[in-house]
Amino acid sequence: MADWDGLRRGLEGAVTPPPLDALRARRRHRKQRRTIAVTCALALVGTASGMALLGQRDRDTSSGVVAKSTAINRVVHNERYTPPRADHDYIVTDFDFVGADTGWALGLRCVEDGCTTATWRTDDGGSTWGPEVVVARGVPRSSYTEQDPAGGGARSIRMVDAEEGFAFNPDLYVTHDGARTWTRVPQPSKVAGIQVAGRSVWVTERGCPVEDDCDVVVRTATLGRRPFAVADLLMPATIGSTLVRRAGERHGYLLTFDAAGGSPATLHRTADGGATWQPATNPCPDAVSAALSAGAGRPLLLVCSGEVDAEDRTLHRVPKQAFTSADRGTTWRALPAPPEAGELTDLTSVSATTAYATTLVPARLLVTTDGGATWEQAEGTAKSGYGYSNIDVSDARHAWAMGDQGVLWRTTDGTTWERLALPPDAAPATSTPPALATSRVPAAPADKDVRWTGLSFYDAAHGYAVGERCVAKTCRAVLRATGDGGRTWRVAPGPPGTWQTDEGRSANGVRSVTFADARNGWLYGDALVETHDGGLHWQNVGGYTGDVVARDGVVWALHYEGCASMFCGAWVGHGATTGGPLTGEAGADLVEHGSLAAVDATHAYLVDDGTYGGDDPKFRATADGGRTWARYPAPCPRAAWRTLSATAADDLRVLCGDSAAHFVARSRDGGATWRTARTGDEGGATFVAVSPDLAFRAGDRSVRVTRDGGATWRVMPGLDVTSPLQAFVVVDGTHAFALYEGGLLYGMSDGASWERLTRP
Amino acid sequence: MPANGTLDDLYTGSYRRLVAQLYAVTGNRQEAEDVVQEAFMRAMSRWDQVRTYDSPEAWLRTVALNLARSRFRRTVRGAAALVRHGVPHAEPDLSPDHVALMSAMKTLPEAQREALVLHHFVGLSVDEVAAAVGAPSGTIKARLSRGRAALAGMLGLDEEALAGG
Repeated sequence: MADWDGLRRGLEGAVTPPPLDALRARRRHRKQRRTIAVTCALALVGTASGMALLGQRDRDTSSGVVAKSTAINRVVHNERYTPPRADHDYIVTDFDFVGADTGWALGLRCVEDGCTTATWRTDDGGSTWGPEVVVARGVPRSSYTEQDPAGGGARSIRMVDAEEGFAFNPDLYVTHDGARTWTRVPQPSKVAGIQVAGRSVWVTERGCPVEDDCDVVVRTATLGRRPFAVADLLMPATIGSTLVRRAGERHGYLLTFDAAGGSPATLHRTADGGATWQPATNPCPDAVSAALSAGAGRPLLLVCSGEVDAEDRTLHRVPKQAFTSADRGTTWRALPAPPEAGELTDLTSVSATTAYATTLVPARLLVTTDGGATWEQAEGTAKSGYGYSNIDVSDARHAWAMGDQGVLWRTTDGTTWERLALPPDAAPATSTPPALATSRVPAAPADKDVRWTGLSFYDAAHGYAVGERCVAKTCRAVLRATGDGGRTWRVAPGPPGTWQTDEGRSANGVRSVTFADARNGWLYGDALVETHDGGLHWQNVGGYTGDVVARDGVVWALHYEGCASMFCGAWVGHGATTGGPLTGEAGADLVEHGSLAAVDATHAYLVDDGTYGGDDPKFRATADGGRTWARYPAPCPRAAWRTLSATAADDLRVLCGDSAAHFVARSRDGGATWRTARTGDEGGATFVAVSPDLAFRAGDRSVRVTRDGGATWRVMPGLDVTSPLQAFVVVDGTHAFALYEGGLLYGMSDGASWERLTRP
Repeated sequence: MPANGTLDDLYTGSYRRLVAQLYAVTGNRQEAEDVVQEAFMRAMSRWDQVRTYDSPEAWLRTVALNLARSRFRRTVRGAAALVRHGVPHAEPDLSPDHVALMSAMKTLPEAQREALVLHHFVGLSVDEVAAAVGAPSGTIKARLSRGRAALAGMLGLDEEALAGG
């Protein structure tokens, strides 16, 4: 008989209830605090935008180094999360654009007890970013996001035009020269929001330490006044989360709601620039979170969610409600509910009909073009990841949204979105983009400190390069992507982890890359990490990995075990390219090195070099998707190394050699028997067969081609390199790429000769 | 809990029980404590209403189960709880048989696990379980039957023994 009673007693006996007063205190703090998760930096259309969210310090006990992606994710979540003790990279916490091209990002990094806030400027819509400009150094450590009287520096940025702007939250800084220089403007309390309309600036402040209950105040100032001064109390607000929106210099809205659900949400409005305020109709008084969009001459758009009763609703099930008002909040018309999934983080209208909304968990970037009647996922944006935070719109065509993992999303046509990168991972701004149409493109000056080692193309245009950047003994992977055959490269989000070098060699680094398509990719070397959302998220799925091959929806990976002791056990894992575990036969023969090839989803091959280079090398073949492997003696039994390439199950070839000669062995029966022929030269150990007749051999200084099945080889013209080959990729018989040390990249687009491409 | 009881009484009397029940459902003590604490905090804000329920503890359990069921809780709040509370609690010192039962429970589909806990662990009738999870009684019976059959296979017991326990 199952002892349910005994289990119950055992579990109950292990529980020690915390004092109920501790829960009361936590609830009180939460009630004071916020809910910022749902309402971060809300940008109003044009230049009048901002938010006012009030923070309460929770008990942050985190310490130590935390993965950067975790920090970025939490920035998107607007969690009160203290930076780790030493994060030498900035985490971008906010951005703002003043036009289609010009914008700024603001970031924070903390080392030991001091934090630095900096801004970066872009003049190409976020594709590249200029050098950092420090706003404040040595400010006290506090969370990444929320306003915090115990902290300092800035977490938010609001630029009015190309000259005037503010960095704030919790301190206030002003720039009059386009963020080239910043000046702190001491305030009696901490600044949570900035809203600008015309020359009128509203500053939302919290008037007391966060541990105490107090009013939120909205104060006003005049843009451009030097020194910038804040005065003229407009009105007191209530405790809780507060949204301030402006619709021109005279009209404004103040929405307050209690996130912990105690007081009804209220809406006030002003029609005289904040001199007087009147209650407006609030269509969702039970809201614990809300987003409001307002703009001059446009209807109000309000999306809220309430927690009516926890008995039958949980947080993710809280239904959203949407309303619109054409008479400044006097009457409201209910709209169809927006998509249920996800916590709303931002809402920004572009016109009377078009608006954007972002959510987290799950991530959605939604657009409506019919005034909120229907919402759809914005074209090209990722549905995966934690979420999106704020949206910024400069006009009907240009908008940006910040996602997690340091990704910036942009549309330049109001319809389709593309993924860019935020500093510090974004490419540095260059004065003039290189010409792309000429045959020889000058190398880009960026990333000279990156050691490029891996290359992958899943078609003739789309590819990835992976490299390693080391500062002192700490290294991280750097990933770049191209969509035009290597003529231009953009920053792609790579795995967030770092590793330590050991006498010049990475202990856990990744040096190679394979992408099956735009979403599914693997970085490998001393570790194997994979992504299934185009690099937005990466996860570590294995250790030392030699080859990764993707064919027809199946990925094959050559793993090694026990190599630290020089005796490696090699095995092949295989699985779907779209994700899931890699399974295979572990604990295979001890080998020194292997070479893996696959021709489709079921046929794969592995040749190894035996133990100690030449001792009993084996050839393995599977015809059933990796379930069983046949073993044969490897070709060239006395050769020191072998490189395998396969074009079909009846066309397997192994390039093998030693210091004296190179051979090509060929099997037409799945590896059971081989015929071997000398190549006639010793050029290149990297071998790729494209068809029974066409194959390439690449080496440090040359690439050779055969078009007669290996009877003759000739050197292909156009290469001008003296450095070691790092990676060689053949897309088809016409397109190929060769990456050399130092990031030198050559491409072949005519099947005959090489041209120099842009460094990744 | 009588209508005139205090929240402190309810907390003292039911916290351990609720955590144990949620632990059995979630298989994660940290998450169980987190959702039960969250349920009590929600009870604070509406105590005048909750105290009038026939069983405030049942209300708390429902809230906690809803929270545990929520993907949002599992993905987001779990991370937040780790930050807030630091290292997760040590697992309770259970007997080998109880460890085996918990391990087997973890392998069951969530709905079956929930039905088994509410029926055998909490002691609710089939109809009460059905009301608690918002499913027909027949569905609950099927979940209990399938869950017991799966557990019996894993634990080497007959299904009747599990039902009797």
